[in-house]
Amino acid sequence: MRERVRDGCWGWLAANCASFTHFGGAAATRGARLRAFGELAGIVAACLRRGVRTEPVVQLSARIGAALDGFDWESQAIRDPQFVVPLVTMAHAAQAVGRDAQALRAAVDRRLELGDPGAFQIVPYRRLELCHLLARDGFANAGRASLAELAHDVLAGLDKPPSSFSAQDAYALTHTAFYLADDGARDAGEILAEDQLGRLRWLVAICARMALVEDELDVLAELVVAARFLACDEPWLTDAAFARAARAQDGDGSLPTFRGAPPAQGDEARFLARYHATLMWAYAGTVG
Amino acid sequence: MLTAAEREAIRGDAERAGVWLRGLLHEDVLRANLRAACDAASALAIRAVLAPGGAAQRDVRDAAALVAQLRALAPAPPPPVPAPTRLPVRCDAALWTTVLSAPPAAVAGICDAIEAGGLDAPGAASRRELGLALAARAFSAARTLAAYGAAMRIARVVAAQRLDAPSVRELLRVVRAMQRAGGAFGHLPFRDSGGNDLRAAVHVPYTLASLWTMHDACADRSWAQRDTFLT
Repeated sequence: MRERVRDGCWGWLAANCASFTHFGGAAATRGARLRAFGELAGIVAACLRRGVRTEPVVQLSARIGAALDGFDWESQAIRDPQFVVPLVTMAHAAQAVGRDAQALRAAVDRRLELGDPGAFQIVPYRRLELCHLLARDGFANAGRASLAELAHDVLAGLDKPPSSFSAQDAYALTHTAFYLADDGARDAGEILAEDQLGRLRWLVAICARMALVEDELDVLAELVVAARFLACDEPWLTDAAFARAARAQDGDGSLPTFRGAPPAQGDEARFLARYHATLMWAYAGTVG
Repeated sequence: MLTAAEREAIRGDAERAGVWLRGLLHEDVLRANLRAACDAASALAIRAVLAPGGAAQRDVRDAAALVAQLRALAPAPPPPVPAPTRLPVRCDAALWTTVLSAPPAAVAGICDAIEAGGLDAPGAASRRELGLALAARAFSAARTLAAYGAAMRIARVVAAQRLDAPSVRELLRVVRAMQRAGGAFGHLPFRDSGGNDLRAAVHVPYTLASLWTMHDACADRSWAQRDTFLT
C-alpha cells in the first residue's frame, strides 16, 4: 500500500514538473507557484540528503537545477523581506542538486547583513524554521535566539487542548518536529528538555489520530513524517494512514490537499489544489 | 494519575457547580422536567463526592426529594432491560483502528461495552494506544460544541480506565474550559434569542457530563458503577 501511494505521487510530481517551474504565468498565481517550487525543492533536497536516488527524484533534481537559473530569486527577496526563507531553501537546494550555490548564498548573506534574521518572521515556528535553516547551512548570522529558545516559544503557543488547534497550529506542530529533528538527521532530544520532547511526541501522536478521524490527509502525511522523525511512529497507525491515502489517491497518482473541496476548474487550479498533499505523501512514503 | 494541585482545582470547580445547581433546586425550571431533575440530582451527588461537606449532603437530599416527587407524578417506567453480557473488550490493533474509523454511535457502543465489561488488555502499551485513539475521538468531537456530550462520553472511559495520563489531563482542560464563572457548564447563554430558558436542556446535562468526567478522572472507580439517580 505504501509503495503504491509513494510511487503514484512521485510519478505525478515528475509528470507535472513543468507546473512547478512555470514562473512566467499569471501574476495572480505567481506567488503560489513560487511557494510550490520552494516546497518541491525543499523535499527533493531532503530526499537527496537521505541518499534517495530513485528515477523521479533524479529527474526532478535536474529540472529543479535548471529552474534555479531561470528566475532572479534575489529580486524577489528584495521585494519581500520574508522571502529570505525560500532564498535559503534555494541555496540549499542548489547545493543538493549539484549546482553552484555561491550566488544564492551571497544573496542570503546580503539580506542577513541588514538585520537580525528574527525580524524577517513574526510567527514563532517560522522564526524557528529560519534559525534552523541558517544554522544547518552554516550561515554566520543565524540570529540571537537559539533553537531551544524558539522551540520553547512554539510549544508555549501549542499549550492548549488539541480540540482547540487550528489548521495552522497543526502545521506549526509538524514543522517544529521537522526542524528540531533536522529532517530525521538529529535526535530532537538534543535540543528539547525531556518533558518538552514528551509533550511534542504526545501532540504529534494525538494529532495524527485526529487527522485520521477527520480525514485531513494533507496534515496526516506531515504527521506521519513527524512521528517518524521523533521516533514515535506506530506501524499500525502508519499502515492505516497509507490505506486512507490510497483510497483518496486519484488514478493519476495525485491526492487532494483540501478535504471536501469542489473539483478545481482548469489545469492550473487543479495543480495548485493537489500538489502539496501529493508532495507530502511522496515524502512520507519515502521516509515514513 | 493527577497531582494534588489538579485534584484541588477540580474540587473547586465541583464546588462552584454545586452552588449553581443548588440555586436551580429552588426554581421551577427543574420542577417540570424529570429528566433535568435526575441529571441535576446526579450532578449534585457527584459533586458531593468530589467536594464533600454538610451543604453538599443537604443538596443531595433536597435533590432526591424533588426527584421522588416528580417520579410520583410521572407514568410508571418501562420494565428494566436485562443487562448485556459483560465480557471484557479485547484491546488490540483492530479495536484501535475501529475507534478511529467507526461512526460516532459505534464508538459510543464501544465505550458502553468497556464500561460494562472492562478491558482485556495485554499490557500498558496497548492500553495507551486505546487511550490515544479514544482521546483523539473525544478531542475531535469537542471541536463541535454541540457534540460535547459525546466527547465526554468517550473522555470518561479514557479517565476511568486510566488509559493515557496526558490525554486525561488535556481532556480535563477541555472540561474546565466549558465552565462558566457562575459554576454552570455550557457554551450557550441561559436564554436564547426568543427568551426560552435553556438551562434544563443544555446547562444541566453539560454540567452532569462534566462532573462525571471529573469524577472518573479522580475516583477509584467509575461513577457508572455506583448507585445513582440516573434513569
